Amino acid sequence: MMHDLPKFAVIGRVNKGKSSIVSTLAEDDTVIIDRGAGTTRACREFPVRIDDTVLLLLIDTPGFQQAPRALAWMKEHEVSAANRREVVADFVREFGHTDEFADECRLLQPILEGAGILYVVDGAKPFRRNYEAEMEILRWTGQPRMALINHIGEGDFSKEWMPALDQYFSIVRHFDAHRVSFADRVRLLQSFRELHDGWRANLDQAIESLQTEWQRRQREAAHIIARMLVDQLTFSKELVLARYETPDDHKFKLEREFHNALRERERKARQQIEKLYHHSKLETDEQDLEKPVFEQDLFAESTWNLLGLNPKQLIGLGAITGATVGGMIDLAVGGASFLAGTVLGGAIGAGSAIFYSAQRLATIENIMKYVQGAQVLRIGPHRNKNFPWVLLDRALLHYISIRDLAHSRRERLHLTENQEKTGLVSRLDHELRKQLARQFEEIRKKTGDDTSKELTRLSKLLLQVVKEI
Amino acid sequence: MRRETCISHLWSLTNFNFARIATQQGNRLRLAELINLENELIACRDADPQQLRKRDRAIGKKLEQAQTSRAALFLAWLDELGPRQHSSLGERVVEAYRTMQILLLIVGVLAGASAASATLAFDGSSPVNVVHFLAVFVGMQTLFLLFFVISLLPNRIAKWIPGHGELLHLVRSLSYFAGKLAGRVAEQLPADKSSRWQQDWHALRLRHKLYQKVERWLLYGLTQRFSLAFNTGALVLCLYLIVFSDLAFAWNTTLQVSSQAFHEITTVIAAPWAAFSDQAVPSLELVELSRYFRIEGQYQIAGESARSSNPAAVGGWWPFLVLSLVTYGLLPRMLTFLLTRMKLNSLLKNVPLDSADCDALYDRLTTPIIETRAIEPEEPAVTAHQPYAPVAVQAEVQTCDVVLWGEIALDRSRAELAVQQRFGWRCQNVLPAGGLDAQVDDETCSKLTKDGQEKQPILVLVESWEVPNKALLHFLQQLRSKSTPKRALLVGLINTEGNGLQHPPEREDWQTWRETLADLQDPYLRVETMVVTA
Repeated sequence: MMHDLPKFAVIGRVNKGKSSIVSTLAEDDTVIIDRGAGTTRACREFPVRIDDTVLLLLIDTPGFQQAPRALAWMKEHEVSAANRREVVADFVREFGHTDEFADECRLLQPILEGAGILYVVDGAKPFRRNYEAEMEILRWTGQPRMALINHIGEGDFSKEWMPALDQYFSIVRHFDAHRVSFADRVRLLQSFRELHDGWRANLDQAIESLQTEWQRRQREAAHIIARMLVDQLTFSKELVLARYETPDDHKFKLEREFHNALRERERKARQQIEKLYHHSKLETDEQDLEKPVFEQDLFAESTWNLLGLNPKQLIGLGAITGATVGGMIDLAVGGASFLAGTVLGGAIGAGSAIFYSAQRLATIENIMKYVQGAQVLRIGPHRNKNFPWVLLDRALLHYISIRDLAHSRRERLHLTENQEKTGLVSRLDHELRKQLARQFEEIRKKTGDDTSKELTRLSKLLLQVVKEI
Repeated sequence: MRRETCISHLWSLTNFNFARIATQQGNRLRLAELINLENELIACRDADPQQLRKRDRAIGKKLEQAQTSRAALFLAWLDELGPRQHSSLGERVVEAYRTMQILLLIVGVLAGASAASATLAFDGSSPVNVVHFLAVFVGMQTLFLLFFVISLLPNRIAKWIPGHGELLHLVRSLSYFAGKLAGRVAEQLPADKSSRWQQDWHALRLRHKLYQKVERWLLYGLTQRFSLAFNTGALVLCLYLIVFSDLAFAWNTTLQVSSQAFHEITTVIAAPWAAFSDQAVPSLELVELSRYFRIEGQYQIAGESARSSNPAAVGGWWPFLVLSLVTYGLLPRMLTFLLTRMKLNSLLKNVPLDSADCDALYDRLTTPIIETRAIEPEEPAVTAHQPYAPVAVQAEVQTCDVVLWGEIALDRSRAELAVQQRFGWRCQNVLPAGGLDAQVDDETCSKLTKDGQEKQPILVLVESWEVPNKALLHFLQQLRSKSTPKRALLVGLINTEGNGLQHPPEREDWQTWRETLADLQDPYLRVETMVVTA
């Protein structure tokens, strides 16, 4: 008897990646994944809930431990093919309260209650005939079955596995739990639809909701990064000096506090992205992480060498911005200036890009006197032309690492394997980069003012970026 | 009926009390709600995104059926957040604004009356100089009206007007000093009020531009209310003095202005009503008759004898002055006041709720929450194991029995070779177990234990990357139970690949095997690697 609620029991031999697959599919990094034998000792349910309505149930199960012996018992009690499911049920009844086949009984129970079977094997290890015992037991249950070839190591024995799995399972798919994209997850759910007609409605709804959720996350990620950029680009710090104090008494302290505040803003945005993609474990492990490019200090020289725009691009953007302003002046005088405004504007823009790109660290640049006569030290906002690009690059690198990080991975977070991806902004579409540059300039003008309009515009631009990368 | 509707509409415009004016959708935001909305959106920035999403989606689900527009949805969201938020910043700002309105109304009326009283001051020693009145109530008012109109112009146009920059600078300076003054006032307040005032001020400064335009028109509303009150006060006092005292008007100026020229000026001023009321347009005769000079410390009227014979010439200016006040003061200010009201209503009705924060809120309210994680926490994995301390195999051992477990990729000859190379032992029996047929396990176990070969170890060769499952543990326990307690049992780890090549096991695998087998608490059970790392 099939239930309306689609249930999928993830079944397999001990330590073949069942929990990894569940952890990835359920985006749950709290699942215990260990190389030790039989880490999962009881069935654990992962309901896919849309506004508290359960649409789908994934069940992580203990692994097969003694499948050949269990099959031997079943064969002894088999009358005909017609009663095989009943024999499996008898087996669970017979040994359900004993220790002898405890794991087999636990894993078979949800299947007998109507769950479909996701049978997991490790395609990195060779096929052995004794796997047929567990496949045969699963066939005896008569439930819809799909096999997933996971890849835990470096080897690839898929060709050995495929013919065997094809004998027992209606659908066989490759699914690397550690390197799976959102599209792969959706494709897997779409495969589930083929297992049983009665589950399609729920699965369709689940797929649609997941896609909506993915888009929502992209929007929110773009908003988080945009807000961080606006905060960073407009942030300044002031210190009012007492009458007996000199600027040198506080200069270094103020510089340190200013840069620490910038680092803190970046860290906070990262945490929000990690939470958005349900990576709660990364928070606690943060201190232990290796430091790929985006983890190096924001103001480290290597960070600035690798990320942001290269000098040529910066000067080019500066020149374009300056020339645009100059061009407007030319236009205003009806061309009487013979394009002098455009040329001069371009030169000034390029020059300022060179001048302001020299310093990675902001310095105290302003000592002013209030009406009352008090001296005020002021630092920031950071004026380096490359600063927003470095920030954006780091944010995007962090974003894609988190977005693509499977929840089953327990090792330290590394920057994306593709080393070419260090420095994403330099490869953005030229027009998009121009719009971003213009927006950064607008934001920088808004120091101390309300920046919501700029934030909204930047969020929209970054949404394009986030969708593209 | 239509007239009543018009009157009622006008009344609603003049009596703006920040109540939500009903519309067909009922979705207009009040100012207080707008401020609260911004305040809440700012608070959302620092809140935990997951909790925020849960809270807002729960609210969104409640409102799913009823609401259509963003404004309506956000209003209902504010309502759902509870009364605490509603009594906070927005209401306090509106309350402060109302207080300001009343104060300005009172000050305006008093200022207008004072101005009228000053310009119409008459003690009988000298006549009332209409030039003063016109300067204050026509000249100055027209100038201020002009400022107001300039301030409405878009920046790109206004910046070309001479003095506009200086004017803005002056306004900024005044705002700065007003801010400082407000700060000083706040310092004088009791500690709790001062602290709340500062918090409110900080929250307002943090705001984004949701109500920036509204704010500008609120300020205009205040200034126009003051001007309206000023003119009303002036008019009332004018009428009072005209009715209840005997004012004698004349005109005088140090400038060399002829009666003819002054008459032309008054004619221009009176142009708006000239077509309706001749009496309110000063004639040349009146202008000539009412000019006076100060000679030798005494005032002398130009047409003194004619004035005596024509008393109307003494008070003949009043209709002109009253209509000047109404036309250049009261009516324009009524119009600008109505304009600000209409603009405010329109802005509140069409607040662009499309900022990034508004979008995020709309997302949170309308996008379903997808949860995929387990509800119940997982039981912690067993990490404690028995210590691994097996007894060494006796040195005199020459032969052993071998079990090829779990269809390991080794044939008999390769297994014998591996054992010879690793231990120097000769293999007596090489038998399979752990395969598809469980019956074979029992047969192998029986064969290896039937002779009671206590000194001949049994070596079970396994693939190191498989974890020790219960089937193997069961087999080892069977071997132990059927042989003597001290017979050496060895589990040999081989890291094979498909082509039969052998490598040392990975360290983690070796560790797993040792820990798992140690839990059997069999001191004569050892784990060995068959290929030793060079």
